[in-house]
Amino acid sequence: MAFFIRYRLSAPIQLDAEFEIRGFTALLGRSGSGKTSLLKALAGLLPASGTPWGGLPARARPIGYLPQGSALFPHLTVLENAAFALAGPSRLGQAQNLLDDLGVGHLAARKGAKISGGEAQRVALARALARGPELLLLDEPSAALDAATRDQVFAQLVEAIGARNLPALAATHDPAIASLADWLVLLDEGKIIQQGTPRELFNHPATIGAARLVGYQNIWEENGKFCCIRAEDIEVVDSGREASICSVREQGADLRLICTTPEQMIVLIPNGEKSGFAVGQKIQLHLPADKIRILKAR
Amino acid sequence: MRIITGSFVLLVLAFLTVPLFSLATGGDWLHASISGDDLRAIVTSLTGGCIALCVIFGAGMPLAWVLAHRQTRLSAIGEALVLIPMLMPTLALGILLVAFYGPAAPMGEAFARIGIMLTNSMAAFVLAAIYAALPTYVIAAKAALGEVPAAIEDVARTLGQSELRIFFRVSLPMAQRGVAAALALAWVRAMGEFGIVLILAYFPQGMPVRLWVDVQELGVPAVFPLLAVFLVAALPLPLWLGLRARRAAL
Repeated sequence: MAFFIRYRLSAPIQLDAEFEIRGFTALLGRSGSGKTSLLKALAGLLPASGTPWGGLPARARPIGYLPQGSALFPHLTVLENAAFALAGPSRLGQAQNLLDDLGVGHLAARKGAKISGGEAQRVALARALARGPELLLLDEPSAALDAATRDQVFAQLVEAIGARNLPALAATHDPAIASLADWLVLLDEGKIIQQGTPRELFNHPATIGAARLVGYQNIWEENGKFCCIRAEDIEVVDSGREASICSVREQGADLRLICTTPEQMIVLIPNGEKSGFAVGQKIQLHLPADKIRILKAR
Repeated sequence: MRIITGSFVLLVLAFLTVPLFSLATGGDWLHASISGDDLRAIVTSLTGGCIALCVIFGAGMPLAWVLAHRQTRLSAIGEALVLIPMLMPTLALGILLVAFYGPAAPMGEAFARIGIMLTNSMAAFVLAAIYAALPTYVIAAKAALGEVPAAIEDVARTLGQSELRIFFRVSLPMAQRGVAAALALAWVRAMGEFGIVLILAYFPQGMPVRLWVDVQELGVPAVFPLLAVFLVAALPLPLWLGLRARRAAL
């Protein structure tokens, strides 16, 4: 099931968004770009005009909303959290089934405040699913996860949602998380600047804003055109584009150089040794033609 | 340094609490007793206090909720209006209330026509207690409700709940400790109110007015039994809530 979204907000941020939701869709934007506001507007929690569900109060919209940090009700048990939207004598049984399906049934008796970030996210998902939503909204779903297990837990979440064939829109500022989605929507300066599959957008960003969002660190103007290349795609060679090193810094197992060519270039050398480079040193850079992307617009 | 700090802390604590032990040592307990008037004052205070507390909860809770959830200029004005009677000297407030609710004033006259006297009556006693305690309750309950994360209430909205159900299922349970503390504060204010009561509801006499009358007529040692009842009525609830909140925080 796909959704076509058209929403306009004037506060707390001016935003005009038109895009599609296909399967698990990531809404990628910088912090403060209005991702959360857009999600809240879709949920009916902020005044906005648009389709679908424009004008309906939050409680009447067929959506499931998972805010940042899951926001479980801390005074209720996990089971009571999952059953919150349900009514009738079988509500606890239904909630237990949902928790079991998501692999957190054993936590039923625990208080909402006393479980890990990944577990809380699954409980919040069970709570949202209990209402039978047509669309799931997830705000920064990776924010409350431990760095060590983040990608794995997030991938499990995407899988659990995919197994239910339920469309979802996840707001994130993290390109790595966005790359796991079925469909990617880029939000910049109050509007949607590009949408497509993550592969299309990561390989062919259309604008400077899109390139920055999907992780291109190097953007420059050449012969009237804007070009971009990823830091890890630049090679240090014996003969190429001359550059002067401004900064040398280890980045995990890799080495990160900031150079001027005269445009500033960030170079990431896998397993590079710091001893081989120094500030002020002249080096030669090779920018492989097949890795350079020409941007269609500024 | 630790000895100096410890001694200073003990000195301040002693300054605050030692006079309170005169309740056990300073009274003429052998000859003291509780008179019929004292008993009536106890009943008046407890009955009036309970009625006032119910009104305060019923009227103050929605106001506290609105002030906690609306960040507008109008809500800021509302909060300032709540603070005015709280910060006003109680004797001055009592005089203003009697000028408004007294039998010669239009409002007092209107109530008198339907048989409710708002001076020197049980209704006046309750009114005085409400004016004394409602602002304190609203400010404290607003702070407690403001501590409930907005995201949690938002989630409840998306789960098909009405605002009223969200209040009773989410906001109130999560803020219950703070709201209970607000009620305890309101109880203490209502029980101990003297200035407003003196002007607006000298009769029927509640415990503070009766204590004052007894001190004038019988002297300080003779009022200790009523004073003990007064403290027992006013203090245990807030003390218990304070200790409970502290235990929860540890």
